[in-house]
Amino acid sequence: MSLSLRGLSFKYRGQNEYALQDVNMELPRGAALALTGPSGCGKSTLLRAIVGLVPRYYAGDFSGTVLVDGVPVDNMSREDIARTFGFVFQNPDSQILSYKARRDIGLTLENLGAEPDEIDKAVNEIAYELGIRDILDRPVHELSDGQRQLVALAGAIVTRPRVLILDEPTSLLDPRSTVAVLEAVDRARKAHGTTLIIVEHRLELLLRFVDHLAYMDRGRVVAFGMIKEAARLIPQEVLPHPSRIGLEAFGDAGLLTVEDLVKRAGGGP
Amino acid sequence: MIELLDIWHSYGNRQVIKGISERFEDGRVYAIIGRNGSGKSTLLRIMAGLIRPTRGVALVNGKDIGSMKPREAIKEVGIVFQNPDYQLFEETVYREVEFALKNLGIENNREQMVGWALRELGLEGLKDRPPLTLSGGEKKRLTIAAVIAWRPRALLLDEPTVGQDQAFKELLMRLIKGHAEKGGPVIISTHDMEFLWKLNPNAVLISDGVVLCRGEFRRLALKECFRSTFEVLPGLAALTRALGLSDPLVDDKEAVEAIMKWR
Repeated sequence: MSLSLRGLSFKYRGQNEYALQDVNMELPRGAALALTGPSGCGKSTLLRAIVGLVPRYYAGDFSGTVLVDGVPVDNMSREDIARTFGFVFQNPDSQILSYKARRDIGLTLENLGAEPDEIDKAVNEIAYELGIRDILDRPVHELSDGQRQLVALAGAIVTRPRVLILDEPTSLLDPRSTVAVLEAVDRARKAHGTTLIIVEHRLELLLRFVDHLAYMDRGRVVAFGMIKEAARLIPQEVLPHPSRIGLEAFGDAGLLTVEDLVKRAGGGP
Repeated sequence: MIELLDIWHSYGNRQVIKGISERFEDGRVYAIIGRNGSGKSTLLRIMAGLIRPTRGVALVNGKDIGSMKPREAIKEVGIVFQNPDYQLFEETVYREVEFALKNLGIENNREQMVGWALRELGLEGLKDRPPLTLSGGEKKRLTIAAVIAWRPRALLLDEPTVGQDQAFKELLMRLIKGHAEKGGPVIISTHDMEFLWKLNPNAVLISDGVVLCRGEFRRLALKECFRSTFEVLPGLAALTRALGLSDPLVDDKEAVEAIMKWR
């Protein structure tokens, strides 16, 4: 679905500074956006505003509109919102409610009225994709923080949302699980035309899975666009090593992987 | 110094630590790395005396941490958990940092100690804010401040870079080195391999409850045990390997030079 953010501003009650200041963005259907910026710059607040948690559940001064395929999120029912958006919070414990992982992953489907065998099938599929079949029947409190992050993510993807919003979904994952998760999200996005927004501080493993990039600072979006153009506008230290090395060694070389660097250095075809 | 002597631990009938013996010297920085669920956090909790291992003993300066009184133990070993929400409960940032100092009965210089910890973590500007209104990254910084405030000798940090930007990571790196220079070991558990590449601590790779290999992080990241565990290498490790170099490329500058030479 296409997503339009029009003039979003928000100030939490009791705070002097705006957490969001006139944020505008247009994402076409199926776009994948990496959202980054210094800690406390408003990334999580922006995600909450997109799904309507701000201002519904957070007190403060809000203005602006979020449109999903032209429909304002304000006008959507909770059920519509639950069907449209998949959301993974920074802290998996804010959204895990069940005793066993299997039940938790299927919970939203259950709430939306899906049949038990339909839920079972969907949960097994997603567990296979994320490589977590072996923890499905374990009590959630016995899992490590990283494993709980995977359970929260599975619960968000399993409903096949049209807009998937992930707040640092891989911050607690080892590199191998990180790539597995990003690949699974990427497959889901391409198969279902999902629009994706991922907040991340570590871009090195993420960049090849997104096409848009935004950088926020003090509540404002200071750079936004297709990844190559936006990458030129953001602080260089945010970029992964190969990109910075490429810039230094070959001038303005855009975003490069290690393989690109070696190819460029070797002067190949 | 912290010594682990043949540590075994199980949750119910699931064995997570299967015989780990390891020594962490004063004045040095260590990293415990491994895949999700490999037992890293359990190991840190055992070292802090929060979990009694099923078998084996964790010695802090020669004394069993499990036999120490909590008050004595936290002066020796401070631990910052992965999830900041587990350890934040005061009404303001300032009081959160002050909390443990009060509990430890520290009266003299309390204000200075709180001020110092807040400055170290760049939190002075937020001292009157309720912790629950902070961003994820700010909460994490607060939990670190609240632990270093009483200056425990050894410092254990579980995923300290989660939610942190580059500027803070630089600050954290200085803090870690500074703490190690003055006191006991600093032991970090993290998946942030780019951070570890810069910090270059002594790394211990655990897999399925045992130590798979150990060594200086940058060298370890070039070894087969690292590649087979994580499959993905830190950027500069991948480049070092791709260029067929035997010594790790330490930073971007060295990498650029190596590439120019290689052309």
